[in-house]
Amino acid sequence: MLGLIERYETLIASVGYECIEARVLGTCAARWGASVLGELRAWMADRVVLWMMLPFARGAASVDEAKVMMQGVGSRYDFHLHKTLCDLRTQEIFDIIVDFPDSNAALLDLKECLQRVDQRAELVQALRKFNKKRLLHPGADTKDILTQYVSTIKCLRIVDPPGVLLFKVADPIRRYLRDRPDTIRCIVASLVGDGESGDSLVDESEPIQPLQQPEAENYADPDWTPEPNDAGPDFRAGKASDIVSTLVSIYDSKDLFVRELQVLLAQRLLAVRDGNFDRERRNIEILKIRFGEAALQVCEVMLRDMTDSRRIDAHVQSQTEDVNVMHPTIISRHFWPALETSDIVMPGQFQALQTLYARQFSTFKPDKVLRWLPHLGRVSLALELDDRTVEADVPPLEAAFIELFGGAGAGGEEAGGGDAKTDTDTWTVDALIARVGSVSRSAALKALGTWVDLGVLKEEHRGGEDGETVFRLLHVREEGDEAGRVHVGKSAREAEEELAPMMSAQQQQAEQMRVYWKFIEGMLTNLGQLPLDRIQTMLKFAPGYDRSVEQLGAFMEAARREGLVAVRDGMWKLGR
Amino acid sequence: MKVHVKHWNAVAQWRWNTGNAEEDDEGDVCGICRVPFEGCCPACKMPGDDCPLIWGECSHVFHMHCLLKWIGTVASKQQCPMDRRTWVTAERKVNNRT
Repeated sequence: MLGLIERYETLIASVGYECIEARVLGTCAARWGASVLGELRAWMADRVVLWMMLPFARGAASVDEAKVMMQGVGSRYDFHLHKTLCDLRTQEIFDIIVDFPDSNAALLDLKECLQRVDQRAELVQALRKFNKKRLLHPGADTKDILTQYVSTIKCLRIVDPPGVLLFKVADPIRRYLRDRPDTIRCIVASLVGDGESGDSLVDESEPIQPLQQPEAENYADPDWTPEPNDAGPDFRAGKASDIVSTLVSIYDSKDLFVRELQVLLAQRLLAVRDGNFDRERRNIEILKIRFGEAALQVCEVMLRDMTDSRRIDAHVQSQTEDVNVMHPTIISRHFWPALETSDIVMPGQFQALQTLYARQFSTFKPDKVLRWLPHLGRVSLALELDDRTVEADVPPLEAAFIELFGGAGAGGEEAGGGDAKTDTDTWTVDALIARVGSVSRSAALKALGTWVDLGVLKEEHRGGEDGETVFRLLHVREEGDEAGRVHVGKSAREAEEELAPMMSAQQQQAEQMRVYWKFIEGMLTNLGQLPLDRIQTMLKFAPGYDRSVEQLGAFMEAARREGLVAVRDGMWKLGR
Repeated sequence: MKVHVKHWNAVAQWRWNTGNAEEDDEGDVCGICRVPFEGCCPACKMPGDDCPLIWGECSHVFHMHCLLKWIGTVASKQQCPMDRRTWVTAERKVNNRT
């Protein structure tokens, strides 16, 4: 009898294992809502143990005796059960994380399985593979990657509280995110709780706390434990830090965040029409707790500029009636992100308003003067045409153009009057640009397009095949597909909304680098050719230079692509 | 056609009227702290009225806080740090300021 069992044990075991595998895969696959481990154990006790009694515990006199006889083989079966479930969950881990927090029970099961079966390395490998395949590719939205990253943090903290698994899985994600240009913007947007974007990365319930810095280990702590033995060489014993600190730590410094935040705040403040920026104030107060008061001093000035503008405006309006349509925002330069400059000259009544307002301002604040940023802001207009009135809310450039069509400063006043075609009814694009000042042709065409969409202007070709394109004012509405026009007009304006007047932090960096280019050009002219680190050393003497060698290298590489410099054996020289 | 402006949300920057009317776009810096006039002196956090300028009769301009600190030191001998003439605050501008 005993001889037979020994001989057929492998056969019996393989039948048993197969039975367990079938059960686990059949009942547990894609079921993450409830804990399945207890259920499986009950099934083992009911069914498998009974079945095992026959070969392994035949002739046992009592229950205790049977238990002793089955001990060895029983624990092997139990191990196999855990291993099967662990394998299954490892294969499903990416979707489990997607489903979090609904998949909480499955994660707890996995944690228990991992304690019995040492497959942590497999889990890490599987998850890294899935992330690479499904997440870290150009097709994925940055916001989705961030969401998944945050879920991954939360999930792996359940499975492995010390964070060894997380550290290994997170590293590729973080490196990938660092290379994406809009990561900071996404994080900042979710920090200030973008109302429209729905779910925010940050839990509302999570207490707001200052950013945490990695701490040195405190060996005097009686609860100190060494790092887990599968921790990597540069594993940081992350105290369970909050999500925001983790996200911010993707980058080396928080300055980048503050700068991006400033840009975002500026965009929002300038977009505020009704003078209600309580939400922005609240956001800044929250962020002050996280980033510290000093870092956000600039934002504080920006907010104060807004309230000051309102106060100044109230005063100016009380002094004179002439400027009652104009309500400017007066900003402190140096404290706002670099605003794109432009030299639009506002024609006609707009210029008159500017001059009047500036005079009133200087009367109120005698030692200050105003410099207009004419391309920023928004104008609400009503156009009185022969058969209709068109109301529009447009950027200043559009307003300037239509003012020119309206006959502002057209040398003489409308000579013919009435419906006679006066000089100011038709303009070529170039003539308009010449009047308004420095605007790009594409910007001008876009502005004109707005009016064409609104049915105020019409684009016409004059002359033969080499005739120029002119825009004509429609005093009387022309028949056409009105519905289509209105629709187009709307979407065009929506697109306008998205066009930010601010330079992004990236653009600003490029702008700064342009200054240093002058230095580089100078030293390469004087010294012939130089290695990269010499250039870096010399640039360090330039005021405010804070780039790393890598950044400089990337910049030089970009300059090389433009043919400005050439490199040979690590020596850079001017390309010409 | 008539164009009526109903509402104009314009944007402007303020500058100190330092006298040299059309200075270059970079703007001038305070001769003591080297921070632009439109910024604020190192001791202040808010620019503008909270950190005003002071005009000397020698035509030099500084952040008021910077200059008062300088004048407060013994080494200054009450002189303008730029030209070493005795500092006299220009009256015209002071009267205008609150």
